[in-house]
Amino acid sequence: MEQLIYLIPLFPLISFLIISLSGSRLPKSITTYLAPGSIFVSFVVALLIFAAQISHPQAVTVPLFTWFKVGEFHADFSFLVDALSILFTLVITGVGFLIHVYSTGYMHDEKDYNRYFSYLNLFVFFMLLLVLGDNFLLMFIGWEGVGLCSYLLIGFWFRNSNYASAAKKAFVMNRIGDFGFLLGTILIFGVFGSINYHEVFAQVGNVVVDGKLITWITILLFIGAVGKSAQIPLFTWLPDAMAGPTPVSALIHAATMVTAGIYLVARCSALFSLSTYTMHVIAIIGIATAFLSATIALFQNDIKKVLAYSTVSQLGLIFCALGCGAFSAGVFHVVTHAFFKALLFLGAGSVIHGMSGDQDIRNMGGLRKKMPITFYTFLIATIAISGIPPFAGFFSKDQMLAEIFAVNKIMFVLALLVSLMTVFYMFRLLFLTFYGETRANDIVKNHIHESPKSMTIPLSILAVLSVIGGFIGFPHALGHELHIHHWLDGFLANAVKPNNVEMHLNTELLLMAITLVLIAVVIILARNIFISKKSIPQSDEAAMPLLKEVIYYKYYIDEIYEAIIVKPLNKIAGFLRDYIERSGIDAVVNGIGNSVVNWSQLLRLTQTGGLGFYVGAMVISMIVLLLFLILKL
Amino acid sequence: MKELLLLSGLGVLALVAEIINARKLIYPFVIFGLLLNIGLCYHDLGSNESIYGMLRLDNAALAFTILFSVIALVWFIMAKNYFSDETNISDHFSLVLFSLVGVFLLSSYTHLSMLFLGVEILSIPVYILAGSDKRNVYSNEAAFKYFLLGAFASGFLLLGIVMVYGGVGSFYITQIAASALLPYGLSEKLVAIGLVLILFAFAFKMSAVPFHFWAPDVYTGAPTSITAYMSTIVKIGAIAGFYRLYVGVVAVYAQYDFFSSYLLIFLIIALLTIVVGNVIAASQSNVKRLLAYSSIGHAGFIILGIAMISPTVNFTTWYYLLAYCLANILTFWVLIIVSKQDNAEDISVFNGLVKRNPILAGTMTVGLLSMAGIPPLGGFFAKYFILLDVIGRGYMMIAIIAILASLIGVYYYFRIIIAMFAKNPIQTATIEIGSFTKLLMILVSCLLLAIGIAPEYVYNLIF
Repeated sequence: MEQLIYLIPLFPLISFLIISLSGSRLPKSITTYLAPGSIFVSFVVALLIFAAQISHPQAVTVPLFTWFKVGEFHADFSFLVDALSILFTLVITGVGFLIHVYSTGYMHDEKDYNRYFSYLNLFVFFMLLLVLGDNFLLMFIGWEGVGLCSYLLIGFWFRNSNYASAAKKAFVMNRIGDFGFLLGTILIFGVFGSINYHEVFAQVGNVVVDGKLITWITILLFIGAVGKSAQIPLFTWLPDAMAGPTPVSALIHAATMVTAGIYLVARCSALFSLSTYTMHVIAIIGIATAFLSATIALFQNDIKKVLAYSTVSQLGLIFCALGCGAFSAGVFHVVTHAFFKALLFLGAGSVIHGMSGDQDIRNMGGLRKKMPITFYTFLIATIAISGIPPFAGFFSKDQMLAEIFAVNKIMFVLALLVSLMTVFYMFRLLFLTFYGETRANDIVKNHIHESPKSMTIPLSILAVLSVIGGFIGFPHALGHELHIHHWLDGFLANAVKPNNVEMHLNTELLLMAITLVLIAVVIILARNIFISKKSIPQSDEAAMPLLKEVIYYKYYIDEIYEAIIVKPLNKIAGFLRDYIERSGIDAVVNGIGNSVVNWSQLLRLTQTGGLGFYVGAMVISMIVLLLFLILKL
Repeated sequence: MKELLLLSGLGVLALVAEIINARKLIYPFVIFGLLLNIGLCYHDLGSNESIYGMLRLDNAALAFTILFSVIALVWFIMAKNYFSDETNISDHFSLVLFSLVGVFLLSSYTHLSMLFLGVEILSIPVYILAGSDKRNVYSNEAAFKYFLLGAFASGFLLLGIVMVYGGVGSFYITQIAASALLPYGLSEKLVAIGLVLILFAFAFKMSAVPFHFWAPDVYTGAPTSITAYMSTIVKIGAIAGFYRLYVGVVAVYAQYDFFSSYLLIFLIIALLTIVVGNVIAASQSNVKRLLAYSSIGHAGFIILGIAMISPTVNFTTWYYLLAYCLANILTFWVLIIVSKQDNAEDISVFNGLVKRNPILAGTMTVGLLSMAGIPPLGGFFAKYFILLDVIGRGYMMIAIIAILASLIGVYYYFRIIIAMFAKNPIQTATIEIGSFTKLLMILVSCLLLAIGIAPEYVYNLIF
């Protein structure tokens, strides 16, 4: 069964080729079936392989061909099927399919309908390559490919120069991370003599490798993860990336691409867990990012921006868990997060659709009655992300929190605060958007309507997943009594390094209880502020307290980057251009070029056209060469 | 044997077709015959057939035969207009086909008389073909110069063969090589001078500096289709012939003192060829002449590859020839179409070609980029493999000079590319080409890309 793995990326690729090569000639109606259909077929194949993996969990390498070979270095085009890769594949194709279907409704009136779907299919192809490749180079191809597609899709409406520059920002920031990834890969080859996962990880167990080198490798790889998964200091591109169409935000910037960094760390858990230094760095950066972006999300008024900061915050939380050695818990949260965050984004898209393109929550309110399906699904997603049992987010977040608690108590408190802030800003969003009176103007107000079926059906399916998705990782503490096995941990055990923290049952139950009580308090608080008191966030012009202003303007991080990095860099570049490049290098290069042309003019004079000269020149050079030979003999 | 009979048979058929006035039949027969020849060679790989002890169809011979058959196939399709423009087409057909027989002999000889026959059978038809544009004085001049200087080269070749015979007493390559291992019965000086003289003769045929003087004049004067033929098929013949001699004889003498001097002369010729070819090409404004000089530079690279004999040289030489010939025939093809339309061969006729016919501009670009050695096209890996051998043998300086000289190539190839894409056309009329031509051009371009992406696959296919 595993041998069929190559089919999974093949279908999106074929669909991409058909749509992109035929361009706008392909009728919309065909694209509407072709693009989601190709993902669906991949999803079915993924399900079959998943079923095979459940009965026999094993790592299978499926070689396709050797890409190139230089000396000892060989890059194979081969896939690795194991629990980790097939789990990510399921999420990518499953959620990807739903978002494709949703897009057929959301982008229905778009002029560049086919261009959109060709990018989206290409993205899925590269994302699958990223998770299925069996070596670092193949992962890097996927890594770069998804970055490219993200760039293309953020800048999909490239005629708006703000959107185009948001795309550019995302690309540049990602490139910084990619460079770390590439250096890490090179160092891996230098140390282990291979870039194949198995060959590298096998040596980690046997050969004693210098600990410093492992730390360097893992730090470099983590820099790659920081770029792709939007962590401090490279996180500012993600909120700007919301310039793209909303389904893109759901697929790329919430469910799949941004989790690539987590996949990388989980895939290399054998390496990462060897360097305690790197693990500390990951945990600290993760929790700092989670905290910072959660505070920013508290005051944002753009529905997509809130969700974007929430994504950054959740990713930070996952990295914190990874840094504490909770690899499978992190992967678990990636899965559940993919369900409910995609649902939130799609719900937001539906709201924006109904609001005629307005994204400001200050103008919304009271959408509950007019968009019932959107409301209920959004409500489910909000409950899920808040971590209320038995919804999906509860199980994964609880597992992460428990394992963080086992490692570091301070980090646990911060993580708890982050999840409480999550509850607050999510309910703030929910209340402001769906409750109370509609604050929009009359034209918009009269136009508010529920979205078409192509959009609401994916919402409903994701809602179901957000409810039940958590049961794949039923906690030990509760499951012990109910005899429910923690399935996911066992499933992933072969692919990801298991976490060996032992925790007292009662401690875990106590933590769970405390968390739930605090969540309830926060929800009541939010309800008091936004429903009972009906307070609406003030407009941008109104004066704010200093702390709030700093947070509202995102800690001025973009401005700081501009001042300390971009401007000095431009100055240096200008200096290099004027003094080093133009009057230095250019002069030398042009000089060499001119001298070659002069020599050429001189040498061509030997081509006189006269036979006598030709024969003479030949004979003389022959005599010289023969004399040389004879004298040597 | 089958291949030899097939090629000669095609030549005779073309002659007969002229007599019975059935010219139209020749073209499909030739195309089919060449395809058949490729198939036969591929089928015979590994058979190691010996033909009366004079020829041996080992894998190297068959690989070179496949190579020149493929290139000849493309060439015949490219040169279709050449045959229909002239009055007595079939004579030209048979001339080309007979010269292919010469290339075949050069690829497979085991006896020095076959070497000489091969060179002559290859050269004499080409002398005539170079002058086939009878009303054009330059074409006549080209034929005459080529013939006269070629006669000199044949003289050196014969003298060299005689001296080798005088030294070891045999014409058979295996016996000459075997005598190198005997402690007696060898007159070292005679063999050394003989081998160097043969080297000079081949250097002439390969248009290596300082025996290259004929090449620019002949290439420019001959009809463009024939220039394309000379710079591809004739080169394959000369290089295949020299390759056999070098691998079979010269390399065996490696333990003798004269070998190091021989190698030095060889390397000097190779380097001079690379440098002079590329440097003079930099100031040419006639595209045909520019390509002539560039082909001199490429010949230098191939010679350098042969000098670095090693287990892989078999492939590097062959691969370089493949990449070079495909790219070269593409560029000549475009040149023929464009220069015919505008009746000029200056770089300026390429101005704005992309607006007049994007397929032609794209094809030309692929060909030029490959010759300039830009990855992932075949030309890059061709250079790469040879340079790898050169560096592996420790000749760092030679590698650096070769790389610098081929950088000059980037300059003059890009002059044409810039003209095609960045300049405004002088004549704005679009250029029409047939859909079959279009298809084949794209196919050859893709082939050039494919051999660059998967050189190992090509290797496994043939070797």
